[in-house]
Amino acid sequence: MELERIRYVYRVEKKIVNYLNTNAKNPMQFEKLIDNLYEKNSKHIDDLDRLDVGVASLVCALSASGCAPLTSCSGHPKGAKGIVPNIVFFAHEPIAKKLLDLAITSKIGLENLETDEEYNGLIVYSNSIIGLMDFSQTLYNNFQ
Amino acid sequence: MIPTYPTKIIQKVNLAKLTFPPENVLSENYESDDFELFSNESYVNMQGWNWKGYDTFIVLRRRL
Repeated sequence: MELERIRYVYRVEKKIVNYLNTNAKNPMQFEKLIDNLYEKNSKHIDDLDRLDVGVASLVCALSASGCAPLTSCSGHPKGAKGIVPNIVFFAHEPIAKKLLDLAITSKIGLENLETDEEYNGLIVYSNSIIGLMDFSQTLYNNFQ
Repeated sequence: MIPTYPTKIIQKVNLAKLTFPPENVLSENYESDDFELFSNESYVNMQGWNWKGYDTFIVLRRRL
């Protein structure tokens, strides 16, 4: 993936989040507005490769950094047992080490996630999608 | 309003435990200019999600 693609996805994502932030009065409304965008097949959602709003730019940044994103979720305000915005991915040791340093300075969660008996990955998460979006730009600046 | 989620932030990685699935299976059936087949291993079993009914997961990776 070209690095510039990360910037583009981030800009689109930011635009959507600004719209949601302005129009959603509470977390449930925020999620409902997102669902509407996906149901209407918004072009902006296609620009995010139909990844969740709030994790798309970081998924792209991790991929461009040499990691292999596996699953991602922008979080759910209720139900689903309180899933926080997160991305599960695989990474080689040198990249993981660098990511850990960046996560510490960015106050982003990063820890091991054992995916099964054979392959083990990492999970990056934050208490808000903003944290993950900002982290995508940190990666962009450090890996370009 | 952007939702926030109460969570404990942990920043600790045991590098020795990390593994990376081999890019061992390539198939033109799934590949394109933008995507390559990353693996068809069934290693997606996490977070207590129910994946019953699926035998194999195809993981595509965007080409770098």
